[in-house]
Parts: sequence; C-alpha cells; structure tokens
Amino acid sequence: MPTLREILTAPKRATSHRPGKSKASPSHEAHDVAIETEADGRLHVFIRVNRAIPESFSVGLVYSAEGLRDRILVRVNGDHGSSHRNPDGTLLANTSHIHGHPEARQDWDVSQLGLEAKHAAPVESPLTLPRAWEILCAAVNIVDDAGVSRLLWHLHATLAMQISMEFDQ
Amino acid sequence: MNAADLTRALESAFTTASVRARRQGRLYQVEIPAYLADGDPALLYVRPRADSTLEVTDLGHTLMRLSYTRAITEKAERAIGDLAARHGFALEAGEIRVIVPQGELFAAVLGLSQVEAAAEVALTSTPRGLSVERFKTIVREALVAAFADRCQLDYRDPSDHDGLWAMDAVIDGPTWLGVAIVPSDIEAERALANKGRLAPELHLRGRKTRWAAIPRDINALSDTTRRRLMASYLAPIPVYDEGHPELREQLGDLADLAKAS
Repeated sequence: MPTLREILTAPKRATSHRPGKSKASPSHEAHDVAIETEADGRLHVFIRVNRAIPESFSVGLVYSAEGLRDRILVRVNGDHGSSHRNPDGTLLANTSHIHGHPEARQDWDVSQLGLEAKHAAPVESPLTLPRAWEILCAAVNIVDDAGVSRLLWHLHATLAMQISMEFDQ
Repeated sequence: MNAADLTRALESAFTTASVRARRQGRLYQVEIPAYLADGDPALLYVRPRADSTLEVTDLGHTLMRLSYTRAITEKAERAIGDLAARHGFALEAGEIRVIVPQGELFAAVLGLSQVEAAAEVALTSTPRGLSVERFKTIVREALVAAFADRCQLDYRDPSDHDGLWAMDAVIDGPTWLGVAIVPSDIEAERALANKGRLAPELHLRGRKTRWAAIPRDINALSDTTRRRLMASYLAPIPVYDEGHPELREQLGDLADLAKAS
C-alpha cells in the first residue's frame, strides 16, 4: 500500500463527473468526480452541498483499495456554522476549513490511517464551492480536465438564486 | 472536588451553547460542545413553527455526511430511520427531525447530536448485543463452511506442548494460512503473540506461511493495536458482515488454494 504522502503528491487528473451513486436526496446535491492517478489504489472526489443552506458544503478526496474501507484523505468544508474541534482540543470557530492528517502521519501506509481526517486548519472564509474545489486541487495535485470548475460555478449560481428567491417570498 | 464543583464545571461548559440565525426568522443553528468522529460539530438546526413549537432538524447533514464514502441505499436509509426512531426522531425528506415544545429544545438538540454521532456506527456495526464470543463463533462456522476439511479450528502446533499459542483457524493449502479472529484489542494482541511464537517454528519446517486477521471492524481497534496488527497480518476483510461473500475467495487466494486444484 502507498503512503499518504505518495498518494497526495502523485499527479492526478479529474477525468469526468457524474451525480452521486446514492439515489437523489431531497436534502443535498451530490456529485462524484473520477480521478485518474498512477498511485496504487483508486481515488475519487465527492462534492456535497446542502440544499437548505448551500454555504454548508464539503469537497473531499476518497481513497479506495481492495479489502480496505474507503477513507477520506483530505476534505474542504464550507462554513458549517459551528466550531470544529481538533484532536488537541483547539477549536476552529465558524470558519471554512480543510481536514487532513498531521505531518507525522504523512508517511504512514494509507491502510493504517483512521477513516476520518480529524485535523483541520482554517481556509479563507467565506468560501465558495468553486474556490473549495480549487483549494482541494492545489492540496492534492489534481488537474481539472473534466470541467468540474464550470459545474461548480453553475451549481453555486443556481443555489444562490434559490436562496435569493426564498428571501423574496 | 465535590458535586457542586463538578456541577459548576459542567454549567460553565454549557454556557458556551449559542444560537445563530442562518435565515433570520426561519432557520437557526444551535451550537453545543458536541462533536463527531472527525472533529466537526454535530449540526443542529431549529425552525420555529406558527404554533410556537420548534422543529429540531439536521437539515439532511447526517445522510449527506454518510454519502461521502458510501452509496446511501434504501437499506442504509432504513437503518438510519430506525436509529432516529429509537431516539424519538423521524427521517423525512432526507432530514432527521422532531417537533417539540420550546421547553424541550435542549433535550432535543442533545438527542439529535447523539443520533448524528451514532449514524456511522449504525451502518457498519454488527447487530447490537453481539458478544465477542458470538462473533468468533459466527466466523468459525463460516470458515468451516467455506473450507471444509482444509480448515482446522483451534490449531495447536506440535511444538506448543502446553497449548498456549493456539491459532483460531488454519487453512491448509499450498500456503499455510493462519487465521486470527480479532473482534477486540485483546484478541488482536493475542493474535500478534501467537504469530510471534508460531512463525519461527513453521519457518524451520520450511512451510510457506501467510497470516490473515478477521476483525469485526478494523477501525474499531485502538490506533496502536491496529497499526501493530496490520504490520503483521493481512486484513483482506476489514469489516466483517455476517455471511460475508468474499471470505472464501479472499482467504482461499491467500492460501493459494487455486494452485492445489
């Protein structure tokens, strides 16, 4: 199995996107992005946006391999509206943030990592969905050959319009 | 320190509770010091109703989170709906929610935080009440059913005169496959000790060996034990569901049974 560092630094290419595998949910928007990489194992990116409060979203890189439960390696969140607590007890208050694993674990075999990336650091806030995708791509070396950015700008605009109409009612 | 001190300590933590308007007049978010496994907060929202009651809801965040790493099937939704119902909530239109009078707001948000924390486990755990021994029995029965005469339970090596290092099972193929059933940290540490004792003996006899661990849930083990176990054993099935369809294929491959036929 590769190490976390090997997976994160390996060049990756977003090749296609499609609606999430689950049946359509009334409460959130779901898209999955296929990722091509030479690292061992399989990768994909999930994009989830809450329909009621679209500023609450998550964009994350998931690693899959035979015999291993899928695990999230890196995840960028919009503002959930409450504080994130890091394992050392520090709180990130009401800010967009990026989840990952600490430097000390970067050279661990990926199978030895926990399912959750518990360590979070703040990112620019407020954060838009397209910008979250850019941050994720930069953090894990993804080239967007699938037009994901265009999809997310469309989604961002659509959901913003929806909120605007709610306020007008 | 006495009960009064502890009460003050508890009260001071809950004075951090706050409410923030997400959509003024229509939707509010409650923040209490309740966190999920990845450190993110339990997401708790309130919609005021015309009759002065409150709808307490997760706004669909629970299913949204679960969908990050799995498809939310109808079976998964039913499991979450059952979990919600046990705590007095309903799963409706993708949201886990309940309607309560204002005086029950605190209890409702606490209950919802419990449901959100339990949701991941609800989809991955073996049935409630399954003891360690019952889990081991289930897996042993499955091994015998899959491998028949090639499977020896409670393998005791000839060199183990006192019977202190018995392997849960051995699949005797071209490759000798030691199988440890590890539903807990203690069983995992026992598996490590057994391999430490048996591997040199088998090496002296010229047997090609592999070692496989079958945990109930590999990620339920403590971090250190899990790392130690995975440094010594293969774990082809990291979460064992009853009647796991891949048991025979996964372990058969490790024992090189295809070469024996």
